[in-house]
Amino acid sequence: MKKGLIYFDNAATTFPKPEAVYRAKEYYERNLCGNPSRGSHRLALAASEAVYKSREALAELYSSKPENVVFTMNTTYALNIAIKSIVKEDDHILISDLEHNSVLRPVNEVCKRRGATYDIFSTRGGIKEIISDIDSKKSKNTRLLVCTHQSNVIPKTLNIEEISKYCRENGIYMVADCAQSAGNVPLDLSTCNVDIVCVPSHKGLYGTQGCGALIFRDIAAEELLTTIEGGSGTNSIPLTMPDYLPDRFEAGTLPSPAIASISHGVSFVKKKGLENIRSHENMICEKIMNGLSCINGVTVYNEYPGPVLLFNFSGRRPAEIASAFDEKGICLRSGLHCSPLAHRTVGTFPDGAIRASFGAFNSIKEADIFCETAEYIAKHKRI
Amino acid sequence: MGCVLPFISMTTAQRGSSVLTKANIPHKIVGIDSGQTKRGCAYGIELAPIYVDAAESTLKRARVRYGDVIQS
Repeated sequence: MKKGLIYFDNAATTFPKPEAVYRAKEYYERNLCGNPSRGSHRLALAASEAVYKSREALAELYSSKPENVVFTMNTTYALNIAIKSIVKEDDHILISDLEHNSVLRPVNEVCKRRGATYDIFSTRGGIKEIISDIDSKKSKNTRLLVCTHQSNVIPKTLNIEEISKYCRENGIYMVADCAQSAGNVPLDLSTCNVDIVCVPSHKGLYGTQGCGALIFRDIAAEELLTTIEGGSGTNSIPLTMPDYLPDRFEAGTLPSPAIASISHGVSFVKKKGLENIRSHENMICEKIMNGLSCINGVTVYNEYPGPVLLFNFSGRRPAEIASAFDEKGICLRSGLHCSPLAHRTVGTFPDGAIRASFGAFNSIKEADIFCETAEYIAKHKRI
Repeated sequence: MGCVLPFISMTTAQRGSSVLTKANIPHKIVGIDSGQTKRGCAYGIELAPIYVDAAESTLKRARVRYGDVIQS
């Protein structure tokens, strides 16, 4: 990374990556890049082996099985597959008021196309209030509940273990968007009732961009509709996709170099410890929250520290502030963060806000520089 | 001359391979011709006949599904 640059946009993608991830990706591209599950020559088998290591790494992280890990292009693809494979005509869907467009848009689209409907439940209050609101919005044809595990706008983590328990008791499929929580908040699929978890490679798991995954509990895959059909490497004579995981949802060549990076990213996260990474990010966030609280005209929307910090400068547009920070070498993201629904919930719609988001490679010194820069920007308004 | 245990997917064959490696049973993953499966291309684990019984009981214990043994 360029010296002097401070990268606080880790919720979009973590940067930099661990050295082992860069090395693994280059090694894969130069030495192993056969097509996994296509043919049985040494390079195809070596590529399959690298992909399998990442399946094992994700399965272990979420207490599932390697066969239940389905690779795709990113979390959005994973969520699209999950949502569109479950929802049928006239079904009802529940989503939370913190959802990213990667949930809201496929849900809206599947409703338009299949005559399904959806409702939005509130995440205000504790888990009892949340479950109560879910219960009030549930109907007899509710088939699916999709919700974020951890918001990308504010540091709110939903108790999806409890929500999944409610879903199981009421015969509802549950899909969790773990784009932000993967590598940050643990989740055990062997003890909770979440049916499908969707994760990215390139955020908290510290892999490279270009890959995401669905991690299934043991569910009947043949009952789920396929959304993309094509070559699966095996079982190639029938006109339909295989009825077993992971092949049912893995049509076409996988983004295997990115997939290969995941096992190394997960090793990094496990070595550091999820809790240690979270504490480190919270410490940086708290330092900045304290710094911003001393500056007149700054509104911080966080109730507590976390991996993301949302704020605004009074009377100034978020894009102007993010640009001023960028001129000083600090990378932030302004706007709606692809989550207009969450910004409505927080009260920052339609202008949005500025988000700083932290990762394992950030330091307290960077937090100090951020606070000094924020003071400078507050005093020096551009015309 | 060896035997091949067929699997429904490369991933299941790999899990089988992982289990057999831990049990110190020599083997390798191989492709299976579509004519032998009637459902298209597939993967299997090839091993010497003397290891077949041990491999089958190891896979069963680990709940890794496989098909009928193919003589190669």
